[in-house]
Amino acid sequence: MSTDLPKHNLPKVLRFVARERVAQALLLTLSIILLLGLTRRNDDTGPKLVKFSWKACADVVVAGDSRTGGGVSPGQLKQFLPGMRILNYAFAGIGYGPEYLDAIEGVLNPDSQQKIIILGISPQSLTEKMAQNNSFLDLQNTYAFRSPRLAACCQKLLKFTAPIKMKDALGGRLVDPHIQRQYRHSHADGWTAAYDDPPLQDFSGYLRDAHNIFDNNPVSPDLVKNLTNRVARWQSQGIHVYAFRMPTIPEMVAIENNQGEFDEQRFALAFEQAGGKWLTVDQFRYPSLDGSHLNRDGALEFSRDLGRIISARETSAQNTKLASEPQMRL
Amino acid sequence: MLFNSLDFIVFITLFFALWPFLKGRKNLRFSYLVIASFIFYGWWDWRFLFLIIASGLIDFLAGLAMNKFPRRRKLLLIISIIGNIGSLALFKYIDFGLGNINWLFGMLGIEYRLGLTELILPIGISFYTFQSMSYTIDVYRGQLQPTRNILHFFAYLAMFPQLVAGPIVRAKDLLPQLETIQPTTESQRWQSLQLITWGYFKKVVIADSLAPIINIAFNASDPSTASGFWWLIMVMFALQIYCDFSGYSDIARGLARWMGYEFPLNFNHPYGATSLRDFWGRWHISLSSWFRDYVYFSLGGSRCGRAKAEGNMWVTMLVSGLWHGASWTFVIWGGWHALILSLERLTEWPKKLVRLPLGRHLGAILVFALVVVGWVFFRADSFGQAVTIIKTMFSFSAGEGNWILEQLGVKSLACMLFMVLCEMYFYFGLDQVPWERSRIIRIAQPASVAFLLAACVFVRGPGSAFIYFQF
Repeated sequence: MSTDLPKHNLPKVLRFVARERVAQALLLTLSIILLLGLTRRNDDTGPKLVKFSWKACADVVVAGDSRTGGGVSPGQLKQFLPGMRILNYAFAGIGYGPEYLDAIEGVLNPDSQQKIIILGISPQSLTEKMAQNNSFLDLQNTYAFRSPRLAACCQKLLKFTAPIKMKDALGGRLVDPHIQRQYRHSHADGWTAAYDDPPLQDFSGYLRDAHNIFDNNPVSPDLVKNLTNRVARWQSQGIHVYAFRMPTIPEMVAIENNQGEFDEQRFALAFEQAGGKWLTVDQFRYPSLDGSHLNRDGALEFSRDLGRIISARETSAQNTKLASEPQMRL
Repeated sequence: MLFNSLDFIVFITLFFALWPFLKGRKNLRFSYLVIASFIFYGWWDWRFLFLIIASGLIDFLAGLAMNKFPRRRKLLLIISIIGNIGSLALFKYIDFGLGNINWLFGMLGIEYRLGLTELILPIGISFYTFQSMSYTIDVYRGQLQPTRNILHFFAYLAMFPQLVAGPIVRAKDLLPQLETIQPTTESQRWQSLQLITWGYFKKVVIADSLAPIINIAFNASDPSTASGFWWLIMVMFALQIYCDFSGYSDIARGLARWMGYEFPLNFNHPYGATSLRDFWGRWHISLSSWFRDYVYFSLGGSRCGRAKAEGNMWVTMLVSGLWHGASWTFVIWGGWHALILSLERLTEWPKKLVRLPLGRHLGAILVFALVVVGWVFFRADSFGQAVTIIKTMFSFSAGEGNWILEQLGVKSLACMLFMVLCEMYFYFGLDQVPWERSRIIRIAQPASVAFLLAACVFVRGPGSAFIYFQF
């Protein structure tokens, strides 16, 4: 095309572009990608990449699936556990398979004075389907970024390559203002704050998903055993391990207990017998985003309560240790 | 290595960066193609490279031996076919066979069960095995002179654009092409970019956007009872598998053209077919012609009377069904197509229908509906599920709730509609009208390709492997 251009007056590169439709198309594509990338909001996939670069760097690791990822803010925990580096290492759709447990351990700084692992438990994360289908290895292979610098670089690049949701196109201006808009803001410490505007009223979608997840796929005794064995090992290494059931709504708890066959008391007992500290939290006190996850305000409130309880337990453990030290010397 | 992965984009950039420097000398070109193809395939699991090499060596040596010992051609052909079919049977069908034997034991009240091998299915085994076999059969039939250069042979067999999901390129078409290399023109490069772009668009935007909703529908513990829902889901699946597979073929053809080679057309707008015979002349053309030439004709084709021809066609279609997957649902899918083809031959309804006003369009709609019903067996996890879905489709019940928007979603519907419109564009021959070649359109072409490429980046669905990899 454009063969009528006075070629001899143009620089070599421009002549090449004028002659080659391939070059024109690729240049145009690049321009569109740059234009859209520069004008769009940050994408949420980035923090997931950064999480994979976390190695031997935290005093406190919070782990679990998306409920924990959106429900526990390390920033709030920090108010009660000052001076500690706390990271939320939760991943959506993850199960407590061995690879994930290894990775959690790998995030703890070996030189830390006090290492703590906090496990947010959702019965879904204790099912085989979640441990296998959404295994940690798959995610790790997909986002295999070992270098933090490379991960950070890719996070920036994602703005230019991550898919655009219809409702986010052109900064959301295309969307009918009456349609609900979802906001997900990923923090550098791994927490994803989420809220909807207006808030979602109908929670049937996530309840239906839970039904599907637990269909022929109840909580796996093998995974629970594997987890408690790991907790016992961590405890023997001096790592404090806390766990709690992530708050949600009564209908979800009913599905998890009945269809998912999750017996919280029995799990808590097994967990404590392994040396972990089970925290009983009010399941229904915190506002839900969608019938499964906490919304931003619920997560902030819950994280403060969680920080308060863990801090009290840690202080109490510290006092017990101090009180027992003279006796030991004797 | 998947075409829709970052690994492949890096791979292909490096490949084409070096290609102009290495394509000039014949053996250097063959070596480069073989090494690149082995890297491409070995990226998934290098151990299975030995399988391709073994499969290829059997046919390469069989071809040479047939030339040297013409009297033993038949024996050599049998050895080659046993080797190829044997590896296919071992990796793809052994557990299917054992499962059926166990089922038979159960029916006979025998408690003993044979253990399943649970072997990994090597990606693309059905494709490269068939491609390799076509070489030996063509040499046996005297239609092809065997190559003496092993690099030449492996450059043909393992050529990466078509290695794992076709098109199945015949040796007599590709081997002579590989011998020489012509410099590509601007027009060829442009056409190859168009093919690659359109292929990617069909895969990552259309097929990948349709996939989640189809998977949800088929995996639901409490499936929908609305017949309209299932018709829409199956139309979506028809488009998903078409876009997924023809997308791969387009990318493969585009890459080959960029190198200076020509792969045959594999899909020619099959959903515009006005008879099932026409459909099979447009769908996965390289496979259907392979089955026609090497199975149907080998059985005698239509030369031995009408009844025998029907029988040959049924065998070919059932084997073709089994080629797609080691499951009875695939065999039934092949049987469904054979049944419709038989009815077509018997009643000649497509010819009669065409004579009626709007008959051609009615025929196309009817053939599409028959193909869609067949896809239920192709996609269903079990025979029981397929029957349930077909019953629901023909129950004509409305179902409950606003399932169109609640369950199908705007993006899936938009993708479906877009693809339907695209296919109608070709069905009504709008690509042939003169304004298509006008100056304005020519100027707009780079913009349209850029638009599609940007859509591949920003409007892509959740990534997944190509469906035909499992075959």
